[in-house]
Amino acid sequence: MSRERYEMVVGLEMHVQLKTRTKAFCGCSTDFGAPPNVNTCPTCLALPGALPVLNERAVELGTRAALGLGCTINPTSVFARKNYFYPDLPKGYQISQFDQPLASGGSVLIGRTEKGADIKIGITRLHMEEDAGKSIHDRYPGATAIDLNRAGVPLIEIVSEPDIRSSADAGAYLRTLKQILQYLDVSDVSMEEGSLRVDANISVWPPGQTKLGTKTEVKYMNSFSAVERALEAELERQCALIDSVEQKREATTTVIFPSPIFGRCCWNRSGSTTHTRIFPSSRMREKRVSLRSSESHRAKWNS
Amino acid sequence: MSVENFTMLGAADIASAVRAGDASPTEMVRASFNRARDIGAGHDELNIFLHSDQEASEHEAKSMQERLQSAADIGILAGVPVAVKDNIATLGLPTTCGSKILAGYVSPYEATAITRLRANGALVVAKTNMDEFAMGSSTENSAFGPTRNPHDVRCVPGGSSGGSAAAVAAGITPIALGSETGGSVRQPAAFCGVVGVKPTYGRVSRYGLVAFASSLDQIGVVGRTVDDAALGLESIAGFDKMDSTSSDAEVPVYRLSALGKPAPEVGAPDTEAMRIGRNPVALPPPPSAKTLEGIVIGKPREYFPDTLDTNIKDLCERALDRFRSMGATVRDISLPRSPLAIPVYYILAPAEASSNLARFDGVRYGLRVDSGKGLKAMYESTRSQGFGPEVTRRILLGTYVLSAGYYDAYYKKAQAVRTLIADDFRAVFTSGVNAIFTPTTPTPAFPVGAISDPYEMYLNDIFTVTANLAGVPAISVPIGRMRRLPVGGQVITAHFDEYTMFRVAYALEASLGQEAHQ
Repeated sequence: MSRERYEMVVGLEMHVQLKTRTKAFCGCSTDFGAPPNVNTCPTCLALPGALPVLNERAVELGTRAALGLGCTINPTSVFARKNYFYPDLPKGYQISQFDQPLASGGSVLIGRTEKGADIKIGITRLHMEEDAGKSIHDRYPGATAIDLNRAGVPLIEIVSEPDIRSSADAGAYLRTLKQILQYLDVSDVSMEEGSLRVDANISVWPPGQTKLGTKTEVKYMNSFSAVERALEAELERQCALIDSVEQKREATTTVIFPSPIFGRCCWNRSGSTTHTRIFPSSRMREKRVSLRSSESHRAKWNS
Repeated sequence: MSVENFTMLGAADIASAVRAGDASPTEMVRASFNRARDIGAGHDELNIFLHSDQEASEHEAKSMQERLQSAADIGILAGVPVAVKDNIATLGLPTTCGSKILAGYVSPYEATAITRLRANGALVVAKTNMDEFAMGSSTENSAFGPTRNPHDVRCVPGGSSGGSAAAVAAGITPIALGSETGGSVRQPAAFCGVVGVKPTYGRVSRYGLVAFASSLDQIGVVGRTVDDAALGLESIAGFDKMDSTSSDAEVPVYRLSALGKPAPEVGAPDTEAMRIGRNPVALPPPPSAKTLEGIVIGKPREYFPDTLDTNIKDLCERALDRFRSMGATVRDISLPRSPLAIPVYYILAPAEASSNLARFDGVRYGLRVDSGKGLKAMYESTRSQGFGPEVTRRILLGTYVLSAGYYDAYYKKAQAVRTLIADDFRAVFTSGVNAIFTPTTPTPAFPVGAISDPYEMYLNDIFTVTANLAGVPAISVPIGRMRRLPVGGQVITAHFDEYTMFRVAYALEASLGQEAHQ
């Protein structure tokens, strides 16, 4: 059975709310717990004609987080739009970063092997984006309520390399990352208030192989134990799938391709890649983080 | 000053009379509404306006009167009635973009350009008809019926700011705001025999301008004369913290009228003038001195093709002769990549539009068509019933070119060519050319319904769209008539050099005098 022969290959994406007083592209408050749709304005409601203006403080905090993770700050980073329809996404696109993120590279030390070697998880990139609003499906029978207080709240997404090999390592990585962000004072990292969410990309392979398997994305997990449980469950599921495909291959030659969406945990808001269109946002000038300013952040946090 | 002369008064004349206490804002508002009634601006006639409210406008005028009496300085547009294209957010009057999807929508906030107009004393009297979401060149794409050209009601006024150009041409307001993405102020200004300005990208805040293609969009001004347009632009230009792409470059004084030039004499009013194609505009007197000494005017060969209508070519040559006679040097130049502008524009503009128009989803405001068959069905029926055919076409085009797998082949390539087109302009302006002169449009106004092929319609913008792609300022000035219909000439200058653009336009207007309208 493949369960004994295979191990998980996991990369994690952590979405963290930055500790700013106002939203990423408008002056609305980011306070948690306000009555629905109170913290809104023409920009975050996407009224016709409204424009975004970047919150400099968010860039500052994002830069600080990136430096704390040993990332390289890219002198030029660009905001882009991720286009998809969803009722709690007022503009019909999310402002995020793609080709040119705020920062790249970096790593997190999560522990040591028995022989004393560092266990490091690589950081691929750190980029800035805005949150969507909240859809409330269980409050009004037959209707979905929309609360846009969160729409436009500044987030950073920290993307790890697929360096994680066990659910325990995943937990260690997330807890270490949380500590670092707490220490840097860039986020409240509060699970309850939704200021931290995790997406996991998981595939399986026999140790020693170099070609990654077909991955599954498990999205919107808001507790570390949920991540650990989901990874274990997904490891089981993928191994079972491989076993059944191999049995079938012997019997027939038909290959059943695993669905890229993990049905049990979540649905994919943005649909398939052909429906998600991305292009650079001309509404915002390129964000140039000057070397001087990133150096001053570094100095501040080294001292 | 007499209200009898209203249709011939420049904005500067009105403002100085109001500030001097020789005329009241209320009189000006009434004169504007009376003119609209007399000339038949209503829905069943010229169909210039989508929304207006005389009572509210008079109320506003009255409170301005009170402020005037308390010796407050009301500003350079004191008491000047202004019409505004319906894609610019205004408090009080709806903002529908000529679309069913926004029918009845009233913005809870105001565009920066409107706030500035009001701060300078202007009175917003009406929202003007337009091609839906500014997509079109004839104002026939409005969900609320086409606007007619005041010079010939059988013809279109151009577009997409057709209502704004028609309002000024019909003598209802001396100034109107329009918007440009690919010639939407200059082309209707040319068709209606008035002046139309598209400023440098970044010169005017876009906050409150409903986005079509954000990297090209810019609010522009229609004026009866160059001075009206200059005054209008001066009052709305400048940095705005609400628009990250607005420039903090200093805004010079553009108005000739600011130099203490006396207001021109005007004759008796002729309220029927517009109907029969005569222009009631009061023109500045011809200058006695050569005024373009030292200016080099480029004549780009790509904008004077062999196929260009000979009437338009002749009118342009006459304008170029005037430049020479005023001391300018006319130099043959080339903008070799300009012929690629239309295909590039019709990739980039729809791509941006497909994203910008995603917010019209029936969830928060505007039309919602919900048959209870779920979210996807609601989106589909709202958007397919809310958007007209041209908007739908461009959303489809834009969605296609941004789709994974096509992005590099279309959007990215078009962006690269856009840069080349802008490079051509830069090269010309750094080689000692101060301004470029071209025809504004390849033809004068065409009859309503005459063009049904979308591509043929797109070619109307062939001479104007390059300025949007390059981001440079451009103005259309009347240079004469063919078959009794107005023809416009275009002056393009370097980024943020509106000053030279106005200088050349003033000189041309003064030199042509009434010939510009004959």
